[in-house]
Amino acid sequence: MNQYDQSSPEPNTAHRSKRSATIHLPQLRKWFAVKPVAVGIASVLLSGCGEDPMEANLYRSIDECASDNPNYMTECTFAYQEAVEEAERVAPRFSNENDCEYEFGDSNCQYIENRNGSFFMPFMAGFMLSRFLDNDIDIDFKKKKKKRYYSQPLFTSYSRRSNLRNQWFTADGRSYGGLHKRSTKVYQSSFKPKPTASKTLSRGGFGQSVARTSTRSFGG
Amino acid sequence: MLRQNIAERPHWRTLAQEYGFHFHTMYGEPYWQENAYYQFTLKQIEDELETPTQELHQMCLAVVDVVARDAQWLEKFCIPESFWQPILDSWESSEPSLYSRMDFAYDGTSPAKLLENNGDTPTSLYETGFWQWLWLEDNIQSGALPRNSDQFNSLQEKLVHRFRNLKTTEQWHNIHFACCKDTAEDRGTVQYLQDCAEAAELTQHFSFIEDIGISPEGFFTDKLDRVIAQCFKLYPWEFMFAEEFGRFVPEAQVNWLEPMWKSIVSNKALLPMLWRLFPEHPNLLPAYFADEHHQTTHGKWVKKPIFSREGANISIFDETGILTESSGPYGAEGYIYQAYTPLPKFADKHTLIGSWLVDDLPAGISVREDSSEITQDMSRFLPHIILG
Repeated sequence: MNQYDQSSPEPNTAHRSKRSATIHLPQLRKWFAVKPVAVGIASVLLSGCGEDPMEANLYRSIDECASDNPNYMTECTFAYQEAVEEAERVAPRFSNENDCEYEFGDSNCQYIENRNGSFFMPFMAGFMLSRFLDNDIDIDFKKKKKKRYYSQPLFTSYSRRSNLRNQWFTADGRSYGGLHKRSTKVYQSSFKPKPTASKTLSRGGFGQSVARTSTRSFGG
Repeated sequence: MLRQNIAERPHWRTLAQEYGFHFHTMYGEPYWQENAYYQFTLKQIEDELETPTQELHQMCLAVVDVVARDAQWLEKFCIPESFWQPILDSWESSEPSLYSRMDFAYDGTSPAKLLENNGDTPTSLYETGFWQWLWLEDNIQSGALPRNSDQFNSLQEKLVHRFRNLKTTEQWHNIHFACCKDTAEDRGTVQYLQDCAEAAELTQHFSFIEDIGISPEGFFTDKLDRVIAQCFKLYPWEFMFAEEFGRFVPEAQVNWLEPMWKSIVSNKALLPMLWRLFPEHPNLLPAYFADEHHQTTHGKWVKKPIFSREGANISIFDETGILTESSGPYGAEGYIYQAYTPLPKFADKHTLIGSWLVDDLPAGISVREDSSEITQDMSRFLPHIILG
């Protein structure tokens, strides 16, 4: 308890003082400098024209994957890890836990601090795994078709306010059905890198008067 | 109204560090000063500052009601035509406002005179609402000031209450806060408002003005592509009107703080308009539009650009010519004239009173001193008390 703090939430009309009755000091302490919000990495969107859909599996854990593919423990582990890394990049981001939990449900958010900044994001709920024939360049520089594993993170929401409640969905917001589903048909393009977290066409349309004025503050 | 000397709190710089008050010294010059304070009587505060502030604010709203409905006046206020209808819509739908600061020339005896109304992007909020409050509490604790000292400063309490009100009455679920990059002072002001919103349990996000984007649907987005639905912007409306994204404003469905109708209040053309609607009011100075120049042939006058900030591009003249002038980037849009009134001098400094409102309630004052007659952004902030 603080010497100034005698919590009274509403302005106190009873006290005759002309100043704020109480100020909750801990809320105003700033030992750490204000950090700018996290910066997302832009990525290229590729089209999925003319390809055939393939079977993809939806796993909640490495174990689920491994029990489905007994001889592929290494691949399952790798696919999982790849998805976790990707999740950190593409998951919806929030500057505070309340907002994140509002969308994704109580206790379904984690705090992330990486070189791009710090933020809250929903836990990865699982990952999608599929195999596609891919163009690959062999050691002798000849092009050939090769089967490749693709994985990507899956999320879900436990929030009653969300229309994605108990649905599998990827970072681009595409839904793949209820959480009970174990497989789905996907196009290879659904594994292409996702843009970070609505869409924005352009930025920088405000703030242009700044260079012209070059005053310290824009307030008055 | 007295200027009293007092010892600085020995630990105030450490405290400033602790609370993130980083702009107490700017460009090597002290901005926050606590080796002196101003002392007012309760009667001075209530009768000479608080009551006039409330009354003047209502007068300003009366000006908005006239100007917002009349193309002729909107033109005089240099507001681009494409925003006339949005401004009227914002006014008629009573879009909520947050705060304002009126600047007064007041010497403790004669009526306070309104110099201007910073109704859109007032700063020195943190210093007023929190920092001078803490200064008084500390000095009462230490016995340096009498226990019955008070301060006209319910700013923080009212801001928190206002945010709570926006949440419950206006159904705001979240709010974005925005200011420009590379200004510690503005970032500090906005952070303080974020803290007030947080205290009101209103979810808040921050975005730099320069980082605001536009979505295919025509909504504004932040850097994380979240749609901006409510936004406090420490950035003047006249800049936004003129800039590239300004054209998206009317359709973007944002609840702005300050709302668009405040662009009439923050405009210097407010001053001649007030004088026209409320001539000879004791708290007003005579003021005229540029085409009423003939009214200014006698006496001392101040020429102010319609969009000036921080005392830029202001000149003082009389029959003999220009007496004082400040430089700056404003003025291309036009000027208004206001009768000169000297700022009172205490300890050889010119003193200016900032009187704050949260929504339409007077909420406190700030005192600034300047060595020049035109108060600019290098002025100094001093705390005040009420005693007796």
